[in-house]
Amino acid sequence: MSLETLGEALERAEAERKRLEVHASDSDVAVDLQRQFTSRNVAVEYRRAAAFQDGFVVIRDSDDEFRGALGLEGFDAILSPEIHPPWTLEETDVDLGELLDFLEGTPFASADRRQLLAVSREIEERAWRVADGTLYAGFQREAAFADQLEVYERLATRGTLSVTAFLDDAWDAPLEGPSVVSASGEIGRFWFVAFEAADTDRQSCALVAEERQPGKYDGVWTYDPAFVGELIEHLERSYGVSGA
Amino acid sequence: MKDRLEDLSALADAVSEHDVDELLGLLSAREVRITLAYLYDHPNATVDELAAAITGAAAAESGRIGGESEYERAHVYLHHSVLPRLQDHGLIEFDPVDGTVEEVDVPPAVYDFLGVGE
Repeated sequence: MSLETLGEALERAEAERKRLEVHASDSDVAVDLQRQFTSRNVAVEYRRAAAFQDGFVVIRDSDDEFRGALGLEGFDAILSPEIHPPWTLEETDVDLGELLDFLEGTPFASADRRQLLAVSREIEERAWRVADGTLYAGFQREAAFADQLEVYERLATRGTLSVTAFLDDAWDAPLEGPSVVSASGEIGRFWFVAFEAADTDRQSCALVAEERQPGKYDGVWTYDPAFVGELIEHLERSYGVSGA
Repeated sequence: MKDRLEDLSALADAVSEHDVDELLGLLSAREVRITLAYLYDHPNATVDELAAAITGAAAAESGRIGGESEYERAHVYLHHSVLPRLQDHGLIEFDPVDGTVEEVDVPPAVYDFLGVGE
């Protein structure tokens, strides 16, 4: 099965429905979470836990297998960046990297640019550490790429990384390192970053998000090597580029 | 909070004298307390649900994420220790093949002792 569009990639990820069990003494918190998850592909279910001092959530995948559990307090911290901005997380015991892993593969809705930047950074840092392989990043606007130019120029000099930026606009300025593909259509609607190492698929990761309202993104990020491989293949086939 | 001593004598009254020390020993394990707390709300449960509850309660307490390895550990501990022991005391029915657990006779004094249902 190959991908024809970025939209199809997102749809496929969204079809992987997860279940969120909310264990709490009253159902209000579950109702709140249900509201937050309405546009995510997550079924929220309330489980009464009157006998527990602190509530918690359990995440299960579409086969009902246990994926992880987290206290409600920590869960709120991930879901409500307006209430708990990421910098306050540093003062708690909650490990941001672990939180990111925890939500991996779970489609999200209404993320803002700052949240997507945090995930993009994770992927770029991984590419930097591995220093070999293919990094593809889509920029909806020229200005967005201009903002990240320094980062991408540095990435392109790292080891044998092959770095390509996809841009909805034309790009005329001289560049040190990264290749630029100018295209219209889906590139203007999606925010994406994908990395695949040269010799192993264990480092694969990708973020694909669509701007469905101005400044608000629905999307997914994943470490699923098959998904990342197909995404990269789609980009190479559709835009005539080749990676590392 | 209720007076623990009062709870303790209620507990002793509720079970035979022979059992009270053993029962207290049993209740000293947090996995046992979580199992009973879960069964209080869900008298018909599965080992999977109980393992998720143990992992979730530990995660809530520590502020960290409970992953699949913690869940597997809870599963094994339930199967080999918690559930057979609770069954020996006649508090639950446990079917290790189906993985089902039914609360059959947890004395209210045990729930009181655990601070549940007050």
